Amino acid sequence: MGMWDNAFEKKWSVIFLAMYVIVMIPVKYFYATEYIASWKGLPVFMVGWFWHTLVTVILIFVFYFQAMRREDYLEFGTEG
Amino acid sequence: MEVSNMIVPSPGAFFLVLGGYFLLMAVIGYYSATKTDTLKEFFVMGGKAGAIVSGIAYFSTQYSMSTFMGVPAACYQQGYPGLTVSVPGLVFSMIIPALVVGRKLVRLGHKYDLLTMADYLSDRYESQALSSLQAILMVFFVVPMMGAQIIGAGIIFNTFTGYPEWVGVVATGVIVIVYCMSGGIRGAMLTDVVQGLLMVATAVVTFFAALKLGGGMEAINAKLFEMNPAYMAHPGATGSYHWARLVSMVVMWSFFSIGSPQLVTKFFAMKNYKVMFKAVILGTLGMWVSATLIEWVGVLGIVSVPGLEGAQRDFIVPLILQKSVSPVLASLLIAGIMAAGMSTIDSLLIVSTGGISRDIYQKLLNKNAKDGDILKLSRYITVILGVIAILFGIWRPGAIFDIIIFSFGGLTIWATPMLLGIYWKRTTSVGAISGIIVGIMTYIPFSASPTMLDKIGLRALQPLSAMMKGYALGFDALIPTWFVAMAVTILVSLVTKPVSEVTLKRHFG
Repeated sequence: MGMWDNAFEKKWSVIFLAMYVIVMIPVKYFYATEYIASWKGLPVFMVGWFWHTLVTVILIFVFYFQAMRREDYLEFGTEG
Repeated sequence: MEVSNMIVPSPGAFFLVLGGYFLLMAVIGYYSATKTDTLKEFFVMGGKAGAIVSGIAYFSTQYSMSTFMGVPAACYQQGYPGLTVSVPGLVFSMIIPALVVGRKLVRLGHKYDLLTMADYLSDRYESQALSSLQAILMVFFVVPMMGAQIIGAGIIFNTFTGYPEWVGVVATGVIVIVYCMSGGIRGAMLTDVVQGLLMVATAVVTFFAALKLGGGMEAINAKLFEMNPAYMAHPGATGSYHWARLVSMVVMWSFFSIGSPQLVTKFFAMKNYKVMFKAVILGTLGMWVSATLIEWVGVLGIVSVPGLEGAQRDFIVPLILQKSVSPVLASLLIAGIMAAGMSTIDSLLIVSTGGISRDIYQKLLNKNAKDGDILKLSRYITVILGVIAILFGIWRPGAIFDIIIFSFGGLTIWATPMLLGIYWKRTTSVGAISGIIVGIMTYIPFSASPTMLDKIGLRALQPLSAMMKGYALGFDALIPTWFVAMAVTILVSLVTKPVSEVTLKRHFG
């Protein structure tokens, strides 16, 4: 199973690569050269990183549930 | 002031807790030994590792002594931008390797009984030379990586007991050798579970203790801004965390892990895809909690334990624990820092053992050797490599974080033949070997510090090294090195003979 083998793999590869690139974009939510206070005085990039991580974790869960409904992911059983 | 004067040693509690912890590791080693009677069991748990073991073992292997000492120290020096080291990219540490190579490795491992990265490389490239090269270079970079972890354990031991560092180095090394030699990868992964949980506990307790000491989040942040506004914005108080550094850190700890032999082996050990996903989720959550909180502690510590300088900063986590919790609990959580080092050493010890016993001895020197003999030999090699790591820890050629970054890059340059081997049919063995050799020759002067070059007898490369670093544009040396290795591999592959159709069919379907 590779990243570009079929439509399902392509879709999830694009989604995760997009999230990967987004966190490296130098916008104030991920990289800030001036202090912008957010919740309880935290710099805004700390909050940006938190939400970005949370969204990515949720996407991993969705990917997992969708993959487990596909036959090719059941090749070696589902025990464990 | 010396760190040993700032910390009030409580050797009684420390010895009691550490003794109990080491005993538990030895018991797990003994239990694992009773289940380890074949080569496949020794190296990949028979390919039957479950989700909890795989997930926790993956993240506890990834995070080492520097996560609990060097990185919080950097955050103490830089302020919030110091968390750039791993927080923005940690969520990708497992999903990117799983997405790019993980699923293919799980499948190939099950179908063709592959146990190590060298197995994959020799099968895909029909080249024993390539897998032997991987095994040799792996041992070259793994020993310093193990040594760096052991150095950290020695420093902690010395600080909390007053005994010489070498005593802690030897004690930690011996206990890891015992459970790896007897229980193989099962011993390593089961102890990783205990160590991983201890690491999470250390991170959580220290974070809340630091918050309380500093008077709460809002008060701490106001105070930090008042002390130095650079603590609150990139590139940090000493200007080290610029954008290129952010990109380097995100890419290094996720994408380049696909070339890390100890992490690749974890995929071969997984039972099925469901286990892989669960491991990714569990490992990611474990990393998120432990790395974020422990690095954050470094920033909170600027207010709660002000005025630390130089090497004193490495002790910000133990100092906060000492100020906040009972000696017994502090000792237990400090054992969590040592656990971070031990969980990295054990996986490295097993993969480097495999490199020598299977990839060099069985496949190159004695092709008729039976698996039973190799299993026996592997146990001896584990001891020998462990002793070499202990000696390296006593020798101590450089700062812990420098050694770790240098070794990590040297190990993960194998991301090139792994990636191209999986996605480009035309990649040839000659191309892969050329890419690695040029990559390593580029990486050593690009990455090593002047002190390290001096210690490894390459002082003559210091001027070249200084010049190359000027061309990196602020990115970590691994990134430009990787582009060089990719270019060489592709160009050489285009003019050399590809592997057979049979092999391509096996790998590409």
